[in-house]
Amino acid sequence: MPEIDTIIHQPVRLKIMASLMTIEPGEQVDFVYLRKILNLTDGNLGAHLAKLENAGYVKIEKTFISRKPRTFINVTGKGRDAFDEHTTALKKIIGGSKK
Amino acid sequence: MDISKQEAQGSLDQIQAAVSQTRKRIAAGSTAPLLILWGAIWFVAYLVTYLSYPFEFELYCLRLTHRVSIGIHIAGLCWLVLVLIGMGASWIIGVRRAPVKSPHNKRWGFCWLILFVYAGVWLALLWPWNEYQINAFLASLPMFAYVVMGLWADRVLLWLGIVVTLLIIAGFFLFLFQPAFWLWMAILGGGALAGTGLYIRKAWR
Repeated sequence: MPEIDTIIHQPVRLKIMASLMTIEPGEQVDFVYLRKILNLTDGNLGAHLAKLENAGYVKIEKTFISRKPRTFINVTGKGRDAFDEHTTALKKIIGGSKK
Repeated sequence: MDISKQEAQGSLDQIQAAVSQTRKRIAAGSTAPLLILWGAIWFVAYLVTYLSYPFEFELYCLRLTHRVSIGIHIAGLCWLVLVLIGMGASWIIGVRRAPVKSPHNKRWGFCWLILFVYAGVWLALLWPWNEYQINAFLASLPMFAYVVMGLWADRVLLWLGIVVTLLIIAGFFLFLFQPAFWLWMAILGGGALAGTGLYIRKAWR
């Protein structure tokens, strides 16, 4: 029985996860780019990502490109499963099959 | 955790909005600058081709006067320089500064490279051709790649590829062996690429 995931259900984290789910497995999105898309501050996004990372839902990778530090984020397999379960639970509540 | 139907619907709407916004913003961040870049390159290079085409000089040899066209060489040099700049800039935009790091980015880059290597081989085998045929062929080549990429990635690329290919074919037959073909390609070909890039950048941000 799918259940609402309390970590994902928080509105900002829901938006973060939904955005990250649009990229293919194996792809990673730039932190700055994600921040701009979601219209969040560095601190706000960082704090929510830390919670998702602690839950094992996202992976954060810090790297250097052309000697400039860049941070890339992607959803883990566990995160994808949790998000799918969360959306299934939401659909069940409204009693339809609409995504 | 219990939530109401309204709250569940609100969450699903939020998910839908975030997914749609992210897809558009990623496309705007990676596709738009490339289209603007190549649109500008096409515009400048075809305009130079059109303007330099009538340039020729008289060569006196064995008491005979030969009229030698140098316009096509000026245009060729301009194309070579701009294409090399474009390739370098595309690599930076598409691979190094891409908002999404993907194992496919490098593959796409190599696909383009391979496509043009094959084109070079075909052109060598199909010699002789005139400058109008080779330009129509080389201009339609990236459009073929856009159509293929559009099938997998972004539908805008699919339609852009089809429209510009039709413009190339129409221009080729409308201005068969006439310099007006270069102007047609500069304004409509370059304009379509840059215009689509600007539209994506403005509308999808």
